[in-house]
Amino acid sequence: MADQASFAEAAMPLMDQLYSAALRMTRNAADAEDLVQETYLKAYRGYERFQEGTNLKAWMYRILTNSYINRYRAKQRRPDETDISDVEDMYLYRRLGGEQSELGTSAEESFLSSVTDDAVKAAIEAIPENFRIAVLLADVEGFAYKEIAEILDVPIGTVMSRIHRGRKALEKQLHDYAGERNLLPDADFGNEDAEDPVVETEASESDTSAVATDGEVVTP
Amino acid sequence: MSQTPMNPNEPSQSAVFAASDPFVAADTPFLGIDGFNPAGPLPLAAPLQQTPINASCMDVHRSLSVFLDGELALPQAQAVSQHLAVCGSCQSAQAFQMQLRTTVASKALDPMPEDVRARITRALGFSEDA
Repeated sequence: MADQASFAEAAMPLMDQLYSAALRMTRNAADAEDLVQETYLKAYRGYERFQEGTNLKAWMYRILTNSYINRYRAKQRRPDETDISDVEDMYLYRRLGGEQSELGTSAEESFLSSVTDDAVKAAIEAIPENFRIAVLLADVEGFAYKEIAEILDVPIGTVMSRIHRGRKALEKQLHDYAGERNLLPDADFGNEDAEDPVVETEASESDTSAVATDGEVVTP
Repeated sequence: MSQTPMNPNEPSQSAVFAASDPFVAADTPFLGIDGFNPAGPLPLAAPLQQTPINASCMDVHRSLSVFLDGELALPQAQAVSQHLAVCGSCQSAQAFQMQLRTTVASKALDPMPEDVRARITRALGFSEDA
């Protein structure tokens, strides 16, 4: 029998985190509220199947993510959402002049201290969906690759690829924000977006019913 | 933090990171950023295991994201650590990436509205002051 007190004690403190993740997924407060409520009701009903001593937080995120995919993804999906620019490693650092800087990190530090909560949230929300969820789980929620693989039910190589490409997409979004706010150093060549012509598509992810179908497996 | 420029004479990729290295067995998977195997030790050929591994600045740039996640396989992680210990330029890059993560993690939080929290608590049949 589900233990109401133990569920309440363990799961209720996760609500702000789950709500933040739900907001980044749905990009809509009303949908995020409904998604978190659905997650808690499903988790409570299934709590007796939850294995004591395993990771309740990861289990809750798995329910949240599956509920989101089943309920919201199809309706929000846009045809171009799987396109993602392939930008170079450390895109933001380079564009902020990090490698040219003689005296340290003035432009980078000034950028990081001036970027607002709204800018970070908007940048995350602009990442294409599969990459966005992977980045959220890694960088905001702090899950390990293995946990993310279990939450999303995809191979660990897929997780690594999505995090890697999603982070670069996030850096590009933040760079665009910096450009709009004149936070880039003079030497920046940051508007040369024509340098990033490579657009890759997770071709097999056109299936809206599941996230476990793509073929990005890169580890043996 | 002191800055040291990237060494233009160093190879763009060191042995452990390069698929074409002659010491690496032919069936060794490509070890670039898309090919790391965090699940276990890398199947390195014997000569390479006895040779100190060196990471170039480019290796570090490619690996930093996975390294900071603590998910880089041990030989590569050691090589990245050793490079970072002596390369001011890569130390700066590392510091920036770490600060960027802290910034992202700390600026993407939204508290659940109290009325919705109360609604969910009621829907679960819990006492609202529990």
